[in-house]
Amino acid sequence: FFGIMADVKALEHATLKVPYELLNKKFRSTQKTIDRETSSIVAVTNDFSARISDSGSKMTVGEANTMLDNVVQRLQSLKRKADDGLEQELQLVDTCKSRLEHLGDYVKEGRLTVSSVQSWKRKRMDRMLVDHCLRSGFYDTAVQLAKDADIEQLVDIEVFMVSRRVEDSLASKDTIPCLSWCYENKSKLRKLKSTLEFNVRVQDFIELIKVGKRMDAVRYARKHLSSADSSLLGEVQSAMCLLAFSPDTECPPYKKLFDPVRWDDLVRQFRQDNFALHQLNGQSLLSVTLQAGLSALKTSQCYQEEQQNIDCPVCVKPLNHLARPLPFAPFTQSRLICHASNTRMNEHNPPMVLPNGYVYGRDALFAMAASSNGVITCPRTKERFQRKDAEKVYIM
Amino acid sequence: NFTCDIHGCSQEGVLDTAEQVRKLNEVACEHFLRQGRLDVARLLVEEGGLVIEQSQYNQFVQLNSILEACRARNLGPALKWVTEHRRDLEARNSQLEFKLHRLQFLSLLQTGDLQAALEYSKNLALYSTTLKKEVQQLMGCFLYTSKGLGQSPYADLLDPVLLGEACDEFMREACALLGLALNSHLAACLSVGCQALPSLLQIKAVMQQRQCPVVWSSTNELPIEIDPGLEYQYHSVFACPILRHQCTLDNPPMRLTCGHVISKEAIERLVTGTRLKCPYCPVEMNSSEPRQIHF
Repeated sequence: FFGIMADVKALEHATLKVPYELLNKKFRSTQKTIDRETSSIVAVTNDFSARISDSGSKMTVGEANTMLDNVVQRLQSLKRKADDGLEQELQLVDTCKSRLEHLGDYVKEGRLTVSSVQSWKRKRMDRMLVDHCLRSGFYDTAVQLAKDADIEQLVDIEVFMVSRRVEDSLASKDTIPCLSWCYENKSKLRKLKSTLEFNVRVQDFIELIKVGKRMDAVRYARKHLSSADSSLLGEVQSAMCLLAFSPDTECPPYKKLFDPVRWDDLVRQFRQDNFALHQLNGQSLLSVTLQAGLSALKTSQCYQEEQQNIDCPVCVKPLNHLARPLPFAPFTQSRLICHASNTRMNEHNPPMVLPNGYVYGRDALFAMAASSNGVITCPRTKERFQRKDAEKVYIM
Repeated sequence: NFTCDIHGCSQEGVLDTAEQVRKLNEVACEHFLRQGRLDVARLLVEEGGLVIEQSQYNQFVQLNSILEACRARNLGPALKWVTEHRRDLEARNSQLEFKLHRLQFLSLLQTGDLQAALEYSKNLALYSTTLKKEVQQLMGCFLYTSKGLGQSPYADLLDPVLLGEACDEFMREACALLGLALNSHLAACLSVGCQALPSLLQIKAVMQQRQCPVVWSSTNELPIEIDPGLEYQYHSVFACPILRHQCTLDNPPMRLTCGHVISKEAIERLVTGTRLKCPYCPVEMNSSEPRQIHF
């Protein structure tokens, strides 16, 4: 049981955290909306009751009607928005719940069959693959895979779809979606001390200069850059200096500022901030797990041509190439496999050596001898020996 | 208490370059092909800009379609493939063709169409010498068609497990003949990785607490031993019992005249002059007598 809990604790952090964060965000935004609407209703009703109790001026029926209609409209809008918000929150709660249930399936004590554990593990692998595809930007693949594997509720496709929209827009030099994203997530980004919004604004400023609209650029800077954090003052100053240069300047620090590669940097920064916001890791779970697995399977024989085994993942390109810089897994106990029968050699199937130095398990050797009149043919060198030529080997 | 710290267990420089990422995606693509998820594989190739060999793709597609047909009890495609590769299968001592014929014959019998079953049994004639007993059993089934085979002494021939076994054997033989690995490499790695990761994380936490250097690379070993189980063991590993080191090409295992096995390096350390005494038993020998063995 504890082994399984350790498993879940190590690997499933993102699975639970992401919907939780989304729910949090939704809850806060719905709350704000409701507050806003309620205060406007209170204001309007106050107005109305003030008008009525104000004996100084008479109100016509028409005026009263309009004011009442106003109040009713506001009330309806409140109800609508509250309903919407509630529905979305319920959806997110559902997501959280289904993920918890899914994890709960795995952790059920003693009530699991081998095949259900296997199918849970297969689903986990599919989840990791979807996550990897989403992070790499392979959105279509991820969507198709999630549908095929029936894991749509268990993976965070929506988060990455939003991310994709913003990334695509940044790549085409459109900053509006990004800025609206920054606005939506203002408080969290501030907590993370993110400089994304500032950098995007600076980029807008630079673009304005590039097309020669210097006065617009100055106005823009006054509006957006003047409220920047004091630690970023140096950057503001460099940006302002750009006003003095032309876009094809050769002067190094300012040439860099005009460089379009800054857009790629913005995309990267957005991605990082998006991950941090949802408490996602920089590296995908797949890559970390793969590295651990490759290390655990890696032996020195995987890099020796004659010893390579086509079933071993590390022996076959391309994983062979990837695993090169990884550490080996140590072992202090020998584990021997009979090359002829692919079974373990131990006290039940003791290893025996043929005169040519090759070792096989007793079971395989005796079976070979029994089916061909006491003759043993070494599977690797094809030399023939008698059964009595095989000698015992003692492994401590 | 639910923190995320898998970062520490990953290496720099393993999956950073575009080329490395591409290799990873190729492995993932092969994984999808094996699972029969052809459209996912195709999308991945498009989005990832991968290049895969058309022949390998076709092989997987063919194998998957045959396997699916088998599972749906349509043994036609499998039989066709098996007949095409008859000679290779015989060289591997495989009885797959017979097993498939047997399954087909039994399903014909169960439909009650005795004439068709009789026609089909001519296929079994090929095995009348090599697998005499099995063929006799099958012919004997004709006696029980009225009562139903379920009541006969041959009831266990109807066990549904046999179909699954035949499917598995088909995959095994086909992969061996085509030079493909039996299981998805990605699946194997991820499975072992999932097993290893919790322990690695725990050890990393402990090491950080004690302020040991936490970086491990190809010159080091991982700090803990991992036993992934027989299913994931592809190579023999021998650890010298004296020096507790892995044996490698430069330091191979040697068998002493008494049968005990230690590493070459251990022998060099135990040799006195030209004689050597086994560390585990009283036997003595010349230092030239131990022979190298290969697992």
